[in-house]
Amino acid sequence: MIEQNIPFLSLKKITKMYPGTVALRDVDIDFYKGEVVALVGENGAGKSTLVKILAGVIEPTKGEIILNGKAVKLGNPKVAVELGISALHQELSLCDNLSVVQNLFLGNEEKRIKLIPNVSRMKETAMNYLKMFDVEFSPSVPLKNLSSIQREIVQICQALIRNSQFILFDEPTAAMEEMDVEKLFRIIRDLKSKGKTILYVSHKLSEVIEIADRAVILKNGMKTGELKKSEFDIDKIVRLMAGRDVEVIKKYSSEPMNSQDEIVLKVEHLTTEIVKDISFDLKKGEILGFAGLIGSGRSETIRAILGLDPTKKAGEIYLYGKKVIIKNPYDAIKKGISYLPEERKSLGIFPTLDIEYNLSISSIRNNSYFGLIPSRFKIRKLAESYKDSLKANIPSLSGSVGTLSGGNQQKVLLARCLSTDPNILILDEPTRGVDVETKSEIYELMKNIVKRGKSIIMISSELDEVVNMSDRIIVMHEGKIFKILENRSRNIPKEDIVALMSGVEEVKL
Amino acid sequence: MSENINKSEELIVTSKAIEKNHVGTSKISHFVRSTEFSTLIALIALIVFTMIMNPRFISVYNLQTLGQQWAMYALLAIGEVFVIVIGGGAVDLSLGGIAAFSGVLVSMFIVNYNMSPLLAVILVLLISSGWGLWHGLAMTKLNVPPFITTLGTFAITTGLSEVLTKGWPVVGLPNSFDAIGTANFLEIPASVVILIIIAIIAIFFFHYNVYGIYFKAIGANVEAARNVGINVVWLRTITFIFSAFLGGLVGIIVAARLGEGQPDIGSMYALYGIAAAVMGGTALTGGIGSIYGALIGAGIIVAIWNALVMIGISSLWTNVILGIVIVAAVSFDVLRHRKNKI
Repeated sequence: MIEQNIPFLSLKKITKMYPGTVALRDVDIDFYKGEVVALVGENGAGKSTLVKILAGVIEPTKGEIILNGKAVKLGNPKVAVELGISALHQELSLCDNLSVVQNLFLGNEEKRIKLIPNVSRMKETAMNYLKMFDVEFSPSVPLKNLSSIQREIVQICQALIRNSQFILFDEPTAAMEEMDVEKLFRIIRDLKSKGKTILYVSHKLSEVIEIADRAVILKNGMKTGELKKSEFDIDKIVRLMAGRDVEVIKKYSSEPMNSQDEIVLKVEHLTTEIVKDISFDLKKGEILGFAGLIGSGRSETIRAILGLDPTKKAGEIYLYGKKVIIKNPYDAIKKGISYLPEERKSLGIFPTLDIEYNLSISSIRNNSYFGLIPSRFKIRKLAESYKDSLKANIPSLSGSVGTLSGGNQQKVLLARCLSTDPNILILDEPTRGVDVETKSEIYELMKNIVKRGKSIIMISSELDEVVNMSDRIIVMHEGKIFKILENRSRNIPKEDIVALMSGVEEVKL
Repeated sequence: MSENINKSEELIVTSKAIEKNHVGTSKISHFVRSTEFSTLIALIALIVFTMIMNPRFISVYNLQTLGQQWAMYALLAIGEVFVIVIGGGAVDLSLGGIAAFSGVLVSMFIVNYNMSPLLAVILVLLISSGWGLWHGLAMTKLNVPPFITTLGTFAITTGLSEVLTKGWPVVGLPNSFDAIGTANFLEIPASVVILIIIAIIAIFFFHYNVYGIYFKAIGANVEAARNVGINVVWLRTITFIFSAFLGGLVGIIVAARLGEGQPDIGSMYALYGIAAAVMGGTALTGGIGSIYGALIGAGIIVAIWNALVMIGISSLWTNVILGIVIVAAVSFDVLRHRKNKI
């Protein structure tokens, strides 16, 4: 609590725009010496963008970063490090093939004469730093032998050696055991008492409440709240994280859908390397929501059903009561199942193909002569019809798909899924990274699809979406189905799902 | 609320800007801005230059020689286009070795084993395709980078050719076989006729076919291709088979032209093939390519080679100069693609 009045580092009206979307809008945050600030928000709220800006990986479109009273420009990570800002990523900033000491001094070696590294001195320094955290490994072991808490310590030492004053922890506990988390918190408190400023980014609210002095909540790229330690309260934070614009809530489907009793898809005892003993069924005209933390096995379940990686080891799949084997997505499409993958950029878009080919590629054979020679006319007609029905703002169908906004790209991919006329639509994060308006349009579309007697499986990290759209909700935890909830009246409290997602059973439902 | 309005205004502005960019995207302006076009201009310039420097350029004999050479490089380039476009950093470095091996093998089959030329040719083409099958399966099933497998095949096939012949050319090929490399139809060399047939097939599959779109889709984003149900394993394998098949075909044509199976041809073939493909607009990162461009690119390599001969530069220098031109052209193209990305 030193110099509490003058911020060590301030962000002033930080805005980051990407073509078509705004990742951060007018974010102001002050950081003081000797405090731990937590940054929380749903996926896509802008946390990682903010971390990247502070680490110098990307530059803000607008706004100022003020360090010790002076406006600075963090053009690249090296500049950020020189100014005393170190970002600790889980995987990125360490080299597995080098030893601990080599990693600690990477790019910052102590040298005897120009080129020859002073190994013994570096080792000594490394020992001194590592001793501070009472660790039991030698600085010359290769990094790949270390556990994730040990890696975290190496990164912290690296930051200290560089004399960083501002240390960013980006999801440090994602792959950590309970015990190690405690240890990490001891270290963070220690750093705090040394007057360092710490930014702690995490999904896990219980951790935030335990470690942070202050929490900044982001939502849709905007700061929706800032709470002091005395005001911490899970409900309050969740509400700030998830609070919606009033308009959009109205557009959600709160009217219960009448899903019928006919079962279209039945999965029994599905098991892969990641998921265990998954059994569920999907009814005609139903939206079945999948909730769970990242890594809980939601997407992996779906990919196993579709015959993608990780491959199915055991289990049966029934379509309309008949046992089927789905070999690959092509097979799935033939059997009336369409799949919208989760990562639009890496799993969905073909950046070098035209928009209309991106849209029609799943159904291109049906729009070709003899199923072989694509008919530009038919493809254009198909694309035009979806462009109109999905209200996509596409200036030229033969343009590059990269010029479209995230929302319009998503519409192209949705059209791709619909163009094969599926009975079952599997949507993995259907509204990730799209703007608010497109979101409600996608919800509208989903409602129309189920009204026509088709079924939808929706995986989503946005709890609002899960609660307001699904007829039933499957909550997954650590590769298993933890609970299946009836949600016809759309009234399951989000807090209960949050608890179930993190494996807590005792919720008063 | 006001924010949403602001945002939609922003969107309208961007979409207008995009629309503007698209005004005038007629077929002609599209063609003028393509890599094929600039390559074609370069080719024409080279030809005009050579014609001025040496009027003998347009003699029937010279044009026939050039045609034969063009056919060779263009066949290699067509194979490379397919392999490079399917992406994953794939190139086929084995072509020269496969060509040498198939030339030696076809000659030995005919001369040493009295096989009929037709049977020998079919057999050798099958064997050549087998190498491609191996490259494809190694990439798709074993995840071995094609760079390594094809380089390995280059060494193996070159080595095998030396072993089989003990380093000596296989002589004594019958005229009926030599015709593949030497006969002319209406003054057009047989190899050019073969090229035209292959090129039409390749252009059909690459530019006017569902599979062409699948090839480009795999090169653009292999994961997405899998997700939409494209059979990545099979299509990648097929491209390697086709490329190796063309390598074998070139080997047969060369053996027929020389009238003997030489074990030491082809050390530069893969480079010429890749260079012709890339000069013609095929991106080394995959997903983008053009058979037309490859045909023009192969023409450029032949034109440079011929220009050097025509202006009297010692043939010993040919490879030095070709090497420089190829690396410069490819670097230029890589730079161009990078600029387009930003």
